[in-house]
Amino acid sequence: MQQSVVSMIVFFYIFVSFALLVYNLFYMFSTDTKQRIGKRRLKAEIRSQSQIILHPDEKKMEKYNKTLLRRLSTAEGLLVFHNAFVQNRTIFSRQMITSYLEKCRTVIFHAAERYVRRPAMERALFAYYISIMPEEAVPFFRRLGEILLKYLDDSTIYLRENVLKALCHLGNANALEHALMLFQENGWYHNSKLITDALIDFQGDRRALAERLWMKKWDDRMRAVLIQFMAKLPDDFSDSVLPLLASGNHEICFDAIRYFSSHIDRRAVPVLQEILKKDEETAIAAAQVLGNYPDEETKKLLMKALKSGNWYIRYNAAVSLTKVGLSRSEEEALLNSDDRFAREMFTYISENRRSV
Amino acid sequence: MLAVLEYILKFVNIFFLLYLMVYATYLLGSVLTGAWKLYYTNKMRRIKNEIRHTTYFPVSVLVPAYNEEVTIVDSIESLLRLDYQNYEIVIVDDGSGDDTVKVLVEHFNMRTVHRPIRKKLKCQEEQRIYMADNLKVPVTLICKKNGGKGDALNMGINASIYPYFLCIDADSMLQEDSLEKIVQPVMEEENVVAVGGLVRSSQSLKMKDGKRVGYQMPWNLITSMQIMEYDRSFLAARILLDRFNGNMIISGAFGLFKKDVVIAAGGYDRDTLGEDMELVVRLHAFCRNNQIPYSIRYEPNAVCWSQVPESLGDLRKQRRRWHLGLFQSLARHRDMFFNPRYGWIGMVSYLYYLMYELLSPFFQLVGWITMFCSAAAGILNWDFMIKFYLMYTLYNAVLTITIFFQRIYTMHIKIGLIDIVKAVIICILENIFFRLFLDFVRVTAFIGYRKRKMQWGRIKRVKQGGQ
Repeated sequence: MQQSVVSMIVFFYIFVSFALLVYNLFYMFSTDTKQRIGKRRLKAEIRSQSQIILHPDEKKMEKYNKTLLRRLSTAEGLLVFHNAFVQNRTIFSRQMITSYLEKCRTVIFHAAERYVRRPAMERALFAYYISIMPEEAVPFFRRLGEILLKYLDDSTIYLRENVLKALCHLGNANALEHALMLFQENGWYHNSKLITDALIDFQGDRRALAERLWMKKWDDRMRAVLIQFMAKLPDDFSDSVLPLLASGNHEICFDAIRYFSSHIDRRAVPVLQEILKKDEETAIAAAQVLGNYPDEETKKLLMKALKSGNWYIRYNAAVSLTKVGLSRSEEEALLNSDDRFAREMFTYISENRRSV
Repeated sequence: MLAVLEYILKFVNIFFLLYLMVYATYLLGSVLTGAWKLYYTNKMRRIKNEIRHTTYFPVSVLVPAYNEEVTIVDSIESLLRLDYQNYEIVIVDDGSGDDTVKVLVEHFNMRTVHRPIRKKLKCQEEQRIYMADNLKVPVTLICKKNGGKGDALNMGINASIYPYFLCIDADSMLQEDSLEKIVQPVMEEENVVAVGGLVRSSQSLKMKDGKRVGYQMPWNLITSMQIMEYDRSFLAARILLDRFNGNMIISGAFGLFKKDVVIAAGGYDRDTLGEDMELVVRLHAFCRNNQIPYSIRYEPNAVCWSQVPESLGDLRKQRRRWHLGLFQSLARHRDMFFNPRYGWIGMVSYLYYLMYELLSPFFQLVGWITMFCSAAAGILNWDFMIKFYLMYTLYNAVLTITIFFQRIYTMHIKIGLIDIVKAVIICILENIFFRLFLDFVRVTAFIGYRKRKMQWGRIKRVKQGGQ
């Protein structure tokens, strides 16, 4: 009795495993067929797109738009459309491509609305498609930003990333600000580097965007992201960032210090020197940045920082000292310092500098 | 007396059958989850659901080396070819007796530097430090006294300058996009402290001029059986455990770690054979005990090609080392066992590794012997026993080949008809003979444990791609 039960269970497991294998094989072979069909669809789409690009008369366009809406409404169709478009972009002039997209504008807006109700994965695909749209066509689609905001309900990180990129690509500052607010309010984690890099790609007045965003109420993390964004812009935001240097908030302070590495403003020097004197964690960044502000007081402080108990402060102080320009006697004094750690660090950095 | 013996035999038989059934269920679950995950990831990538970026955060790549003169240059060359912007390579020579240092210094034209190293983790003193200029990324070579792999990795962590480090074996090669893939989970999730990648046999690669041009099933039976085993046991099982943050192993051949958490947890243990597993288990314990939100992820799309043993002798040495490492890690963290404070790790993962990894060969040995005795004593019939063994083997073989095909398909690997036939035959042989051999090795692993417990694992190295 027991043996037959065991046999039955084993048979059941074998049946399940075989079913899994058969399903896998079926899936593998059917995928080959799907790929062949996909290639045929792609060819047909390239043809129909190029006909419209070359001969965009009203009647044809009406019929084409109906087909296009059907196509864009499915993820597979959108992929085919996109791949065909990528190929046609290499064949036709920018002007023709822009004009084609302008004619498809209404259909693309309709499709965007339809995607609001689709799974997150497919919404992410549509947002991706918008994020790589040709720059010349962007002005016709700027208002898509408001629809893309609706995609953020019940979203995944991939969807949020694609929406963020799309909003920056569209240059829609209003929608972008709303999106960042949603990120903050919902506590969605999004790596600061991803947000900063998306903001850098903003197609529009980036200075105005930075100023607009700066005025809003943000938590420390988003404020730090904005400082990182400002640090990458050529414009001067020192007046805004300077008060945050002495804020005592480490998360923001680190980024504020780094801001003054690329945006030289001597008003920051006394605060940076104070931070270095305190020998806390933020002194690591201050020791690095002060190399860009050479003066006697800075030199004296960096020489002292070279004897810090923190390895990173010693390292950055040594690098900065080689930048601020030491006299022969000062260099000799450091190379013969009583402090072994200071001496070793300065020797290493000096050697490295010479070999480079 | 006979009645008691019969009772014991029956009890052991039932326990063993239940034990196998639970394992069969686990295997099915892992293959189903693995298949679903691979399919889903493939679809997500196809429809642009991934975090792709031109630059990610900087990473220190640590390469501990001990007598690796044959493969080290190829490995470092492969690391210099990675599609990644910002990283450094730190090679730590753990007192090699061969020309590992010489071939590196000559090949990369390295110069001596007097670099101070911050010793946050205990390790042997450095003896000489070299650096290579004019390469794609900074390459540092640190020569130190022999202290074991964990000691070499601690030195690498001390010398690394970036907040994340990746450790790889000196005989491994990374796929061009591996570094990018393994950092993606860190970009996606806030509290990721470690990510493990997929380790695959480099003997299955077709190479030309140091580049991967195709895939094949090797003719060497030992190698090809390991390929099948890796798919079933490592790929599928780790994907399943990853679902509930339950992975207790990140292979020492390929893993990314957050440096400050590793340093806070005490770095690599220098007195264990399985320093890779021990670190991951300790990270779980450290984060749980200190109430630090964390996750340890597995990323099957980040691929590392590593040489697997080609002879039974080398394989025996490697598996013995793994098994003893497993024993040391589980013994050291025994307070986790069935402890609700450790969540899924304590209640499921630990139990799995204890019952189905560490004790499995003993259970299998005792179980099959008992079934054999029961059949001889007439308690079980021979027909049932043989049928059961064959069906169980068939079941395992079918699941193995399923996950093999799944991987081949989802990773867009092209293989020929001969390779498919080879794979089918090998998955049957693997389940009949290879597993028995591995069970034997694991049962005998503790012989000579105290005498040789701190040696580096050595297997015969060949040039990458068989050149």
